[in-house]
Amino acid sequence: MKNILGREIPESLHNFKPYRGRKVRPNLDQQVSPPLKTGWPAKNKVVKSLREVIKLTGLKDGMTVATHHHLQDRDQILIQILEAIKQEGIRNITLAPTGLFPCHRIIIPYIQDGTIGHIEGDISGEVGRFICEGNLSKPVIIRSHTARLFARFTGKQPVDVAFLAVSASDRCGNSNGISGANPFGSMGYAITEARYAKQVVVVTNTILPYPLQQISLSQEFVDWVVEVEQIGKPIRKMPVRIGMVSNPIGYLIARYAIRFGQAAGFIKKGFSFQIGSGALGAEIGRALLNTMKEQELNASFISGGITGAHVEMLKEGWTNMLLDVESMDAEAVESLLINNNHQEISATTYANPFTQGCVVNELDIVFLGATEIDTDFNVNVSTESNGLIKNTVGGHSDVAGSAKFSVILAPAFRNRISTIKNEVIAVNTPGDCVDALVTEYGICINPKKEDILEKVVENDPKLPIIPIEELMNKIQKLTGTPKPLEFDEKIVAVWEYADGTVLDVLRKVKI
Amino acid sequence: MEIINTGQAGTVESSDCIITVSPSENGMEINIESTVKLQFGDHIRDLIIDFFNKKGIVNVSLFINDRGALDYVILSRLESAVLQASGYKEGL
Repeated sequence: MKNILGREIPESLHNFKPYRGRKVRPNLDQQVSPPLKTGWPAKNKVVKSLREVIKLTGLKDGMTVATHHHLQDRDQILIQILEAIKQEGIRNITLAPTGLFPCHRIIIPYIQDGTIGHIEGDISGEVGRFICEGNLSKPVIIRSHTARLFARFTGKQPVDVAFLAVSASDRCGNSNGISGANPFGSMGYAITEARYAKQVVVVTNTILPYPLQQISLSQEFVDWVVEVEQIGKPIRKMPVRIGMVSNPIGYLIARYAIRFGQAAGFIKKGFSFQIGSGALGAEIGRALLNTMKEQELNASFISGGITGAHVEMLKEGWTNMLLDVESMDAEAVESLLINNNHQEISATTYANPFTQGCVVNELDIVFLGATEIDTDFNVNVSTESNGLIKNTVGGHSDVAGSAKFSVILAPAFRNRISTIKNEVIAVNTPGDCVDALVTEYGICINPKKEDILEKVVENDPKLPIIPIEELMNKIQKLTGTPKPLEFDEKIVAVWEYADGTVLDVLRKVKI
Repeated sequence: MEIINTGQAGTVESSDCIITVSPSENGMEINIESTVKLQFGDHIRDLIIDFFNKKGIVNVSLFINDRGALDYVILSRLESAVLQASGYKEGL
């Protein structure tokens, strides 16, 4: 069966519905209530070890374990959890991480020995590669932030135990990510994971007196509190280098993107924006700040993953607020702790369209990355050109689909592989969510945005606007036409859209 | 044209390649390592063989470590390596 993007979704994936379009349509019969619990009389929640808490939760073979990725590439919790699960003799668990980073390559042995039987979550790095080599019997289900929320509150993917790293907790489980010995900032994704899991274990290296000051995750959701020696490596300081150009092509793309955003009317006084964590994030951040200073354009808010560069903008008054679902560096963590205009938001507040309205709906413009884009503007951010999963999808499709204007920034080609193709390896963000592509060779506007095209041409006639097919041909003249990859039958990954429908599948690449 | 010693040109920077050519007694031996071998491996081989044929080079051993270089880059690195290896002082 083909979905509306023309991607073949095999009938063998029997529980899946094909993607129907950008507008999310929840089926209200599907919703499940968060688990009801009895927390009276008060019990002692503090447990000495992970093995002991695993016994107490009753975790068994085949159950689902969720984790969050706020410690990013510094995480040392997941490995401890898996080792404890293994030592308890539990096998074939479904791992549901909100994200995996390069450091999580150490979970591969737990896949090989059968502790992990299946993965539903967001993956990257060597684990992505390992999965693409066909080492799991069932395909990994990759969900964007919204798709994951949807899977939770429809009961599509119930979580038996959520193990949530926190930088500090009290004895009742009130916890946050900004106190303690190893702060990591916003608990955005952790807060929503705690809502729907049947049992919630917070794992920390700092237990503080009750009640904790500055509570992000409330005790009402927490079943157990475990103290461990270490949750992760310390967060790094990322020196803000505004004004320095590290990548001339990136600089050019960023300059085009900002002129384009202004000509289209989305960068103006009081606008709101978000910058994806793609490679050009730093370039666009710098270029945007320069424009804001030159033209005295203040933003109303910046949302998403917050970095030191955003913190600088807040400090200097170029934005009123930072809405932080994930803190990316030490500057962001510190700012979240001390600045009232830097606010932690949960994943639901951030990007749950099945509510009375979320933050991403209020965004004027988003700048996102891509590894590939096809002539219908379908985007691949997951796999590299070799057909192996390299990057997490994060909230790419959620933000692109909800913001008023979504702009993809990418170099025209990388290592002689054209970014624009007739067909991408996998669609993670559907073309009807994407408004434009900016490269160093030209700007392509999605034909569905005809009004934007007219406006841009009128306001900034010198911008290099070009139809996407024409740009693709121009680039492929330089790079040559790549030999298409060949794939086996075996499906290794499935990408779900915000409403649980299937965007695409990935098959094992023949090497 | 004849390959009489070893010549090398290029870097392993992204979008560049490093090429080493040296003498051989059994025709052309071409070894390709490339970040885009799946998509462009055959194309790079054809490009190199075509260059050798045009220059009348028959016996040569070549190793290319390619980081996604465009054809122009590969050809200029190749020319430079071959110039060194053939002892020519002037252009081809």
